[in-house]
Amino acid sequence: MQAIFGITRPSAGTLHIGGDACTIRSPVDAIANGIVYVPEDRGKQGAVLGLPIYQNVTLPSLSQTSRSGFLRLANEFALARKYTERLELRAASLDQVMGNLSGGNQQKVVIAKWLATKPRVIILDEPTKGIDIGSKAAVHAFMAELAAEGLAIIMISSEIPEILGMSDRVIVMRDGLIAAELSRSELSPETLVRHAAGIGPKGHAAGIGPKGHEPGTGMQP
Amino acid sequence: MNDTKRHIPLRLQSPMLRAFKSWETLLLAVAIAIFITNSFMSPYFLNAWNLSDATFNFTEKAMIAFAMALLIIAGEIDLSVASIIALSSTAMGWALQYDAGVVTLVLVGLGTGVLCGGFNGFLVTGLGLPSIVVTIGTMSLFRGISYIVLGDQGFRGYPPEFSFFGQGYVYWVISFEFVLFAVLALIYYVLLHKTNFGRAIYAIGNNPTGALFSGIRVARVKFILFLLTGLMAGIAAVCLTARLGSTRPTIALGWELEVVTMVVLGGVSILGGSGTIPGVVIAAFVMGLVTFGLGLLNVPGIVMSIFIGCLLIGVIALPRLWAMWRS
Amino acid sequence: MIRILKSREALLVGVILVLVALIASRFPAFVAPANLVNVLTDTSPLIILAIGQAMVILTRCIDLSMASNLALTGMVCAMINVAYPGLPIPVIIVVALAFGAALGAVNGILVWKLTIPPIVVTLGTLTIFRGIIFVISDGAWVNAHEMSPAFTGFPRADILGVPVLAWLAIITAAIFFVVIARTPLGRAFYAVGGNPDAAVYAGINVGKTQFWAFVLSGMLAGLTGYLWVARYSVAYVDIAKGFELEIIAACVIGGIAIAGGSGTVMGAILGALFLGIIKNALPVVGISPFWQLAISGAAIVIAVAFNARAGRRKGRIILKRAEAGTNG
Repeated sequence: MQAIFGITRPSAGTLHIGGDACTIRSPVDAIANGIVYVPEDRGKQGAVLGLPIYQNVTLPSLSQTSRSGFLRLANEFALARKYTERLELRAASLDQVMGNLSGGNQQKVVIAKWLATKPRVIILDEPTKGIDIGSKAAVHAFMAELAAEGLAIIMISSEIPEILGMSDRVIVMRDGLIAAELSRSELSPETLVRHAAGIGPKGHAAGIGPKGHEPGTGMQP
Repeated sequence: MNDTKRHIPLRLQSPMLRAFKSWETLLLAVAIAIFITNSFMSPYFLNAWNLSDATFNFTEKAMIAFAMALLIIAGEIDLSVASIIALSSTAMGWALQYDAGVVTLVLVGLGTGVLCGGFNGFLVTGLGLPSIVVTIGTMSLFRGISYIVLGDQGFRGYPPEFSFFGQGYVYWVISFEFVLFAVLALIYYVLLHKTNFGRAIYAIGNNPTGALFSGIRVARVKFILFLLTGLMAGIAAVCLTARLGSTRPTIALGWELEVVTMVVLGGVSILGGSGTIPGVVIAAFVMGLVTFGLGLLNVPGIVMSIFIGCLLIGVIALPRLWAMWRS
Repeated sequence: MIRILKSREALLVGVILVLVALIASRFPAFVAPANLVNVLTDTSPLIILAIGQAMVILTRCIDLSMASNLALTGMVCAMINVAYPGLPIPVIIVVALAFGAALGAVNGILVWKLTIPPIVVTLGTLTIFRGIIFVISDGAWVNAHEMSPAFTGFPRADILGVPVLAWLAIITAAIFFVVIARTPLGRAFYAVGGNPDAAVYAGINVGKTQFWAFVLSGMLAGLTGYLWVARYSVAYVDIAKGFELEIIAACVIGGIAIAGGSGTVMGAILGALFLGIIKNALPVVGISPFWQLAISGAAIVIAVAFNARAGRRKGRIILKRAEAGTNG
C-alpha cells in the first residue's frame, strides 16, 4: 500500500485510476492523483502531533487555502471546521495541539485531513486499530457513507469480522503476494482464513515460511 | 442527544494573550532590563553613534541566525556557516586578484555561499547523512580550503566602493548593515510565519515522517533551507569582508557557535519543531547589548563569552528549574 | 552486528596501513621505529580524548566542551605547579583527573537533572570554561621557566623507548576496553544510546548513565590537560582551541555513530591514529601543513558517507526479500 502512495518503490506493475495509467513517485504525486493514505502508525506517520488540529487538517491542502504561497488563516479554519465537524471530532478548540487528543479523535483528524483534499481513492491501513469502540463504529459508519458517495475505499485489516462486515471485494495477501480474490458472495470466515494461511481449497500451496499474513480487503462503489 | 450541532471553537486563547505569555515577551523584558542597566552603568551608552556602532556586533551573525533558525526548526543544523564565510571571503579575495569589480565581488561572495550550502544540502538530503556530522566535516573542509589558498597570508586592497557594505551609512547613524538586517528579519518573518513554506518547516521539524506522509516535499524543503543558510553566510561574508577590508583564513572563527547560541536563546528548540523569528531578532539585540555594555565597562571579550555561555544555559535551565520547583 | 563492526574496523586498519605504505614507499624514514613512536606520542592526546568522546557519543550525547576543559584543567595544574613546585606529580595527576571529572559532572548534571540537550549544554560550557581560564590567569601565560622540571619532564620520560605520554594513551585504551566490554556501565552506554526507551524498561537510568559518560570524558580531558601543558611547557587561554571538532572527527572516522549506541573503543583509537598519521605525514611528504584542516574535513565527510552506505546496504537486503513478491 505504501507503494501506491509513493513511499516505497514498487518492484513491478502499473497503476490505473479510472482507466488512466499514472506514475507515482512520491506522496505528492499520489495526492495530486487523488489517492490518499491513512497509515497504521498514527503517531509517527498519520499526524504531526506537535501541530494544532487545524494545521494538521490543512497540511496537504495548503495550496487551496493559501494565496500564491501565503497562508490565509481564515480559509484554513473554515476548511478545518467543515471537515472536523463532519467527522464529529471532539476537541476543546481547533488550535489545540493534536497530541492532546485521544486516539480515536486523532484518527478522525487524519481522515478529515484527507477528505479535505477531495480524494478519489482512500486507503485505510488498520483504521480501527487501537481506538475505542465508539470511535470504531463511527469510523465504520463513515466509511460506508463515503463509499455511498462514490469514493473508492481500500481498507487493510487483519480483523476478520471487520473485513466481513465492510467489504465488497476482498484480496487476501500473504507474504507480499496476492493469495486470492474473493467477491462478497464468496466471503466466509473459513475461506478467508484458508487463503490467508495458505491452505486454499484448490490445494495450491504457495509460499513457505511462517511470516505474518496480511489479508487485504477492497470495497468499491 | 441534542440536535444543535456543537461547534468546536477556533481558539481558546486570544492571540494577544498567547503572545503575552510567550518566550519572546520574557526575552524582550530581559533586553529592556539590560538596556536600562547599561544606560545607568556607563555615560557613553546612550549615544546614537555608540549604539549604532554596537549593532555591528550582531547584524552579520543575526543574518545567518535567521536562516539557521529555519534550519533548526526543520530539525537540521549547519555548523559550517563560519567556514562558509571564510571560503566566500577567500573567493572574493581571489576574484580581487583578477581586478573584479564591486558587483562581481558581491556575486562571487554570494555564489560561493550558495554553492557551499548546496553541497551541505546534497550530503544531507541527497545521501541522507546526519547534518551535525556532515557540517562538522564541511566546517573543516571549507575553512581548510581557505587555508590552502591563503596559508598565513591575507587578501587586502578591496575597492573603496566595496567597503560600503560593511562601513556605509544609509541615513545619519543608520548603517547599511542594520538596514539589511531589518529587511532580512522582515523577509524571514514572512517566510516562516506567513507562507506555506514556513508551515512545511514546522511540520517537518515536528515529525518528518508525518510531514512526508502528508504530501510535504521534505527533502526539497530541507535542501532549500541549506541553500538559504549558505546564501546568508555569503551575505554575511560580503558585509564582514567589507567591514574589515581584508580576508584572512581565521575570519569569523567560532561564529557558528555564537549563531547557534543566538538561535537557541531566541527560543528555537534545538530539537526542532518550534521557534519564531521575532524571538531570534530579540535574542540578537540581547547578545549585542550584553557585548556592547560589557565592552563599555572594559570587560574583555573572553569574559563576555562567559556571560553569553551562562545566558545560553540559564535561559533554558530557568524555566525547567521553575517547573521542577513548582511540582 | 559484531561482524559488521569488526569489518569496519578492519577496513580502517587497512586504510591506515595502505596510507603508511604509500608514504613509506617514497619516504622510508617515516616508518623508522623512532618516527612511529613519535607519531604515536603526538597522537596520544587525541587518542585519550577520542576515547572519552566516544563514551559520550555512545549514549546519544555530544561533548563540545572537551578542549575547553582540557585548557582549563591544564591551566589549573600549571598554576598549582607554580604555586607549589614541590608537589609530587601523582598528586598533580589526581588533581587533573578530579578537576576534569568535576567539569564533566557540570555538563552531566545539566543533561541529567535539567534534561537540557547536550549540544546546548556543552556549547555553553565550551565558552564558559575558556572564559574562566582568562579570569583565573588574568590572560597571562604560564611559561616553561616557571614550571618545575619534574612537571614538564613527566610526559616525556622514557620507559622502554616509549614516552610516558604514549604509555598513558595505551593504558587508557586498555582500561576503557575493559569498561566497555566487562562492566555494567559499558553495557548501559550501548543500551542508552541504542534505544533509550527500551533501556528504561531494562531498569537503566538513562540520565544517570549519560551523566557518568560526561564524568568520564571530563576526567580524560582533565588528564590530557595536564599532559598537554606539561608536554608543550606552556599554558594560556587559547590552548587546544577548536580541538573539540578534531576529537569528534576522530570518533566519526572511527565509525562511532553520532546517533548513539554503535561504535567501539578500537574505532575511536583508529580514527585518532588516522588523523595523527596524516598530520605527521604532511610535512614529510612536503605538503603544506595548511592542507591538514581540509583533509580531515574531507575525511569526515567521506567516513560519514561510507558509514551511512554500509548501514543502508544492510537495509536493502531486507527490503529485497519483501520486494521479491510485492506487486505495486
